[in-house]
Amino acid sequence: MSETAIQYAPLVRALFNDAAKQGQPVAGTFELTESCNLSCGMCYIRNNGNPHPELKPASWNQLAQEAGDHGLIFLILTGGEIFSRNDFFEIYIPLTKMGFIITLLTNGTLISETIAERLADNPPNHVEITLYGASKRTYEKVTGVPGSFEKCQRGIQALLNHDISSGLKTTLTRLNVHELSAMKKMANNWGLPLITGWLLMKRRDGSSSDIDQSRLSSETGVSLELADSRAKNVIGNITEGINSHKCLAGRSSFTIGPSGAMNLCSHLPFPGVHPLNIGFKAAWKSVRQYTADLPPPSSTCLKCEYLDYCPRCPAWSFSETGTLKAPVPYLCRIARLRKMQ
Amino acid sequence: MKRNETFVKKSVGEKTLLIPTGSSVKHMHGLITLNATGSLIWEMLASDISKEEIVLRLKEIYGDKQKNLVQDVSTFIDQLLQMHLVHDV
Repeated sequence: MSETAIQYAPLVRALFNDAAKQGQPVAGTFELTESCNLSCGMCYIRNNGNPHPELKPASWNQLAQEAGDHGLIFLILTGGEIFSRNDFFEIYIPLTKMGFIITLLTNGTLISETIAERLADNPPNHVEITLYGASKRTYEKVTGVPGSFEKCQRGIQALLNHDISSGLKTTLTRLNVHELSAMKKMANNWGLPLITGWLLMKRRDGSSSDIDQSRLSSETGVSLELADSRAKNVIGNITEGINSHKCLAGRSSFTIGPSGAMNLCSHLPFPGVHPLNIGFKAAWKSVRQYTADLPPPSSTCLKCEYLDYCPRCPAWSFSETGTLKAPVPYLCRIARLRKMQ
Repeated sequence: MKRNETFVKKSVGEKTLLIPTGSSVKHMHGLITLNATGSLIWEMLASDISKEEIVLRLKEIYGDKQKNLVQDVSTFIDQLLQMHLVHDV
């Protein structure tokens, strides 16, 4: 009568796939702000100067309520840095009563004992903290903010002190990749899992970014993947999906940006509809329609012998070429190396 | 006994899920899936009800088709109690 999920990740994957078949928006990301107290050169948002207007807490709660009525279950709150909003708890607390599996994405540097205590009263399902290095020197070289390494460590410790389910992830760049082993050791000492990411996308507002100086070479990135058993599984399953892209964006998941625009994902600013104006149902319908209309990969990609190993999607093409289907040379090299391994 | 109202029932396709909210997240980082009978029992638990009454109501619905009904209901309720999803009133 009840089925205990021994394997949580496969269950969630199955739910996402079932939801996609039904057209149910089971997963949503709310980007509460573009503001951040750090200044990482590789960040795809990095809008410290002129952030977009931000929705008020009542609007986020209205959106969540409507999304919940249409089947939302897995909700991610992210930024920018979510705790840079002074009214974060006005948004967050009502969401914890609505029946969502909530994940908070944060850099951890603004989490004080008081904030951890308030979270513990109404805990999220999970908090994911991004770690940018294992030493003060490297961490702050990435974030550009003196003192941020200690603050991050304090934030992690505060979450642990209050038994809040947490995990670490790291964004690997040329500045911090040499500290990967040390970061794994740090995570291990805290008793936390560490996941790694290295495929960095350009800034989504089209501004110049430090991405070329930050990105790992395709050789380094692929060799790191091979050392990570979870990544090997991802590579093995990469061919699943529809023609235009392989993830479930726009089929069972969506993103809503700081000013309330609903898009396929955080990296592709389309269709940019506003559920607060036209209603959630109509907005989700637009997202699904936009997804269905996305073009398949280019003929070059379709003929490519490395296609099954390539992470390209419309968001990657848009970010790198301004089109929705053109090949992305950086990813071409990665796909070739993955196949050759 | 009665269900713990901090668990919210939701569905994906034909799957029924129970999602912990508020303080229940401390006890459970995840979700529970229910089959059709489990979902029916969850609805019965909205009001104070005993195991025996649940079995009687299920027999009214399913007749005598379901074997081991008493044992199955008992095991299920014990699981719910263990996971703080129901409590004695």
